[in-house]
Formats: sequence, C-alpha cells, structure tokens
Amino acid sequence: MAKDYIRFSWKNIRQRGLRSWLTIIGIVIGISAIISLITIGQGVENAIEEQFEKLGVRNLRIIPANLQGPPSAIFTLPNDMIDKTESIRVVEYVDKVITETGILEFNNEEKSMNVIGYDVSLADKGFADIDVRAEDGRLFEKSDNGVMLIGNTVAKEKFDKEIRARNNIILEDEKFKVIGVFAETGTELDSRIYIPLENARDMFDRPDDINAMIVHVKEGIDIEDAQEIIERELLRSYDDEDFDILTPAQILEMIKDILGAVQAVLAGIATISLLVGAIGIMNAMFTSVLERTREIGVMKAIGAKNSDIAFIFLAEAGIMGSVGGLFGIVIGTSLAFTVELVADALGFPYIKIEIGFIIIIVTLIFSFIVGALSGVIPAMQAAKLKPVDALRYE
Amino acid sequence: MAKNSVIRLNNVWKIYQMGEVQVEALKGLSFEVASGEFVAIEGPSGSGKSTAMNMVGALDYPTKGIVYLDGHDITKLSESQLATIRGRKIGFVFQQFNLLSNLSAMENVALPMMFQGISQIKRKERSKKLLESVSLGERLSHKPSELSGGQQQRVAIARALANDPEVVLADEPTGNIDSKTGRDIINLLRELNKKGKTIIMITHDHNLAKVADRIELLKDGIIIKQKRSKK
Repeated sequence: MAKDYIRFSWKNIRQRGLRSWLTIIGIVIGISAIISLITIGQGVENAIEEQFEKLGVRNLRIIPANLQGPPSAIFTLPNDMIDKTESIRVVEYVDKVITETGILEFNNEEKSMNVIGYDVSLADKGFADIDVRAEDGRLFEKSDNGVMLIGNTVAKEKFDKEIRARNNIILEDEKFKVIGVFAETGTELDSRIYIPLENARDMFDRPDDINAMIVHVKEGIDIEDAQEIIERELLRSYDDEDFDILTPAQILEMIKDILGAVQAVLAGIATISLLVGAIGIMNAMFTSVLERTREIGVMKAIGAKNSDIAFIFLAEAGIMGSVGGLFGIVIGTSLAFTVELVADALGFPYIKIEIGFIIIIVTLIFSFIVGALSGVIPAMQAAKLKPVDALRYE
Repeated sequence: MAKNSVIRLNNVWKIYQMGEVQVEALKGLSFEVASGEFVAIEGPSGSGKSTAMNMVGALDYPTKGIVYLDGHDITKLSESQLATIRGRKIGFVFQQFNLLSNLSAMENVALPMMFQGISQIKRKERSKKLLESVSLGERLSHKPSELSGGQQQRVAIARALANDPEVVLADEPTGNIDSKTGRDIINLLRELNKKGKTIIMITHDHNLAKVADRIELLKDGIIIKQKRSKK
C-alpha cells in the first residue's frame, strides 16, 4: 500500500512544479556541500599519507616545542643540541636544516621562495635515504659553497624561463650557481630551494641555531624505542618545553588533526545550509497542508485514516529530501572532481577523489530522513485536522 | 424497522462553543434510516442541516446522545476506526463536488479504494466501470477542471460508489449546477436507490426533497415533521 501513497505524494510534488523544485534546491545545496567537502577532504588526506610514505619512515624529526605545522624560522633549536643528538647510540646521523624565506632572482624576475640551509657534508647520505635524485646536474658534495639545488616545480614552473644546472641565480642579493635540479618527488621538496647550511647561516644571520633536525636512526632499532631513548637523553640537558620529537606517524597524526579541524568547521557550515534546506521543506509542507486543508477533509470523509494522511505528507517531504539528495550527490561529486582537475592544473596533482558506493547510499538515506523529519510536524498537523472543520475550510 | 436500520440517531445533541456563547446546533435529534430507503433531510439554512449531515455521515462525534452506523455506536470508535467504517459504509456527494484537482476522473474514483487497501489493478478496473455507469467512459483521464459541473458531480457519485457502500449521503447535490443537469443527477440517485442503495439527501429545496420516499423536516436542531411521499 505504501507504494500507492508514495505515487500519490509524487503526483502532489509534481503538481506544485517550480515551487517543489525551489524547495528541493535547498537540500541540493546542503547535500552537495557536504558530499564535496567529505570527498575533497578524504582526497587531501590520502595525498598527504602518500607523501609521507615517500619521505621515509626511518626518520625522527626533532623540532622546537609548540610548533604547529611546518618548520618556520621563528621557532629554533640551539646548535649544541646537534652534537648531543649525534652522540646518542641509536643515532646514525643527523640532518640539520635552517628554514627561511628568501627572494630568488632569475632572468629579471623575482620570486619569494622557501629556502633550506642543508648540511652538505651529509649530502651523499641524506638525499639518498629519502630517495631523492638530481634530474639535471648533481646533488651536494662535501666542499660545496655558493651553490644551489632547486626543486622540480621551482625550476620548471616558477619563472618564465626554465632554470637549469650551471645557471647563475641570485638569492637575497648573493650570487649562487645552480648545480642541480631535483627529480620530481610529489612532495613539498619540489617547491623548495636548497643551499649549503653555512651559506644560510651567513645570509640569514643564524650562526647559533637551526630550525629542525631529521634524525636517521640506526638500522635494526625500533623507531619508537629510538624516540624514547633520544628524548630521555636530551632531557638531561634541555627542558621538555624546548623540543618535540616526532615519528612520521605522529607528524601525520598532527597534520590530520589540523585537517580534521578544518574539515569539521567546513562540515559545520555545510550542515547549517542543509538545516536551512530542511526548514525550507518544513515551510513548504506547512503551506501545502494549509492549501490542501479541504482536500484533507475530503480524503478523511471518503475513508482516509489519520495515519494515511500523515503518511502521505511524510512521504512528500521524504521524497523531496531524497530528490534533493540525489541531485546533491551528483553536483557534490562533480564539484569534487572539478577541484581535483583544478588542483592538478595548478601543479598539485596529489588529490585523488574517490566516491564510494557506501557514501552514496548513506547520503541518500540521510537526505530522505532529513526530508521526512522536516515533514513530521506538518504531517501531524494534517493528520489531526477534523474532517468537518477541514471540509468547511475555504 | 430497527432490525435493518443502517443509521440511527438517538437523542443527539451537538453543542458548539463559539467564544463565550454556546450554540446548540442539534437539540435531541432522533431518526433512523432503513436499508434501501431514500430519505430527504429538509431544512432552511441555520436549521442544523449541516450538523445533522456530519452526524449521519459519521464525520463528527455528537456532544450527547448516540449515533449508530451499521450497528456500531460511533461514539465508542476511534477516529481511525470511524474513518475506515465511513469509507466502507458511506459514499459522500458534496455540493462543491470536492474532487481532488490534480487527479484524473479515474484516479478520483479510485481514491476511496486506495484507503481500503484495494490493489491498483482492481481499483483501475472498478473505477473505469463506475465512470462508464455514469456515462463518463470517455472522460477517464480528464482532470476535474476539464469537466463541466454536471460531469464533475457524476464523477463524485461514481467516487461515492467506489467501495460499494450501503448509504450514499448527498449534501445539496444539485446546489452548484443548473436545473436541467440537476434533474439528471437526481434521476441518477433515484436509479441507484432502485438498485438497492440507501440514499440520504440533505437539501433546503422542498421540490427536490419531494423525490424522496420520506422527508424529515428539520428546524432549530430538531425534527419538526416527518412526511411520507405520496408516491
């Protein structure tokens, strides 16, 4: 019997034509916002995880305490911490970096860049361990001075003219020779430039500190044990408010937390728009009950039970919710794929949008429930009408 | 008579509260309709006609007194039970036709059957047959707005017959149509009566009431006179 009532409700929705569509659009907007945010968020998360796998899992990062997000020049670690860390038995060696921002000048163009000061004496190990190669030219050698390595994106896309090995380039008014261009890695390394640590210390006047250490742990030692040992050793000389030691898993967790917070805010906004859509349905249903009061009286006179009337109006609201959900899914996923394409075109080809079957089904059920819930009060109002009063209604 | 009475009102009172004032629309109405009768309830406006129709049609509960429909005391039934019995036992014909405007003639006729849980195939079959019986076999998929007043009222009569009720309750059935078409409608009702349907017609028009076997004359909420037709 439900099928008959649903068909009947569907007829009523179509009867109202444009007004029904306007009501449904409210749900379409809400659902498409939610769907696109979920899928894009998932895509970004997958992209980040993938990058982390590429960066290697045998490393620990020691960073200044209270640092949220990527290393920055404001939070620093003292130089003597390097030696202390290197002397701990589980440590193979330590990459130490200075992170700064500088103006890069090439071919009469100026661009602001992330500059990494990198210890050239470790060049043969550090880059090899994270599987980074030079596509053009070579990587650092031990006695390098006044030279520069350039990320793939920087070389190919930042300037009108492609930067190649053996080009001369100016960073913060100092002349450097480009010795190599990194092969594309798909990580943030692509958009950085590397100079020897000593050059960076002079250039940015940073003789006494660094921004981060990447600790390569000895073969055969558990990464979390190593974290514990290093922390205990460093706490002999430093305060626990000076530094944090993070495993790749923890860094990933930290980034996911930030991403999760951003997603939660966006989802909140999307939910508000869905709520507005639901109120739209409720309003439309109240209007519909009022307009069809007489009709309700007639239906009751010819044998409709209160529950029949309630069901008809609930089905109407539920159908509007579902139709809105259906279109919302289509538009939301199209939106997500558009973001993927745009990101790709802008040189960020890591977001991979995946639409699961489950999310489609769950969203459809959810939008039906949202619609039906919006219809509950109007439907109860309709069901409660006394046939005599409803028939008298003009 | 009591044995085969379809509807019986026993000292029925209906009192409305209109703000501060109590309005006594019915003051102890008693009468019964036997199976197969054609009864007219005649009365001027304000006589309590509409309220009487609501009681007879089991559309409302009395304030006092008892209404029996097919042997059931309706005051003891829930709204939903009442709706189901009403749908099965009584077919309504209204002055304003009261067809659902977005449904076709056939769908309107099929609607009472939907509320009784009858399958779609049977509904279609029966509503088609009913419309043919009121000479509207060519208008099955027309919307009410595409039909004349007389045609709409015939659709309404077909709808009233959908669940094969014992009683057809017609409230001023010719009130909104011209007199010639009105006569057709009355003839249709008489024909139904001949076939065994109990007809109760509510009207203010004495000439119309005269076609019934019996006239119950209503004034100020009470039957003041009962007349048998001279036929």
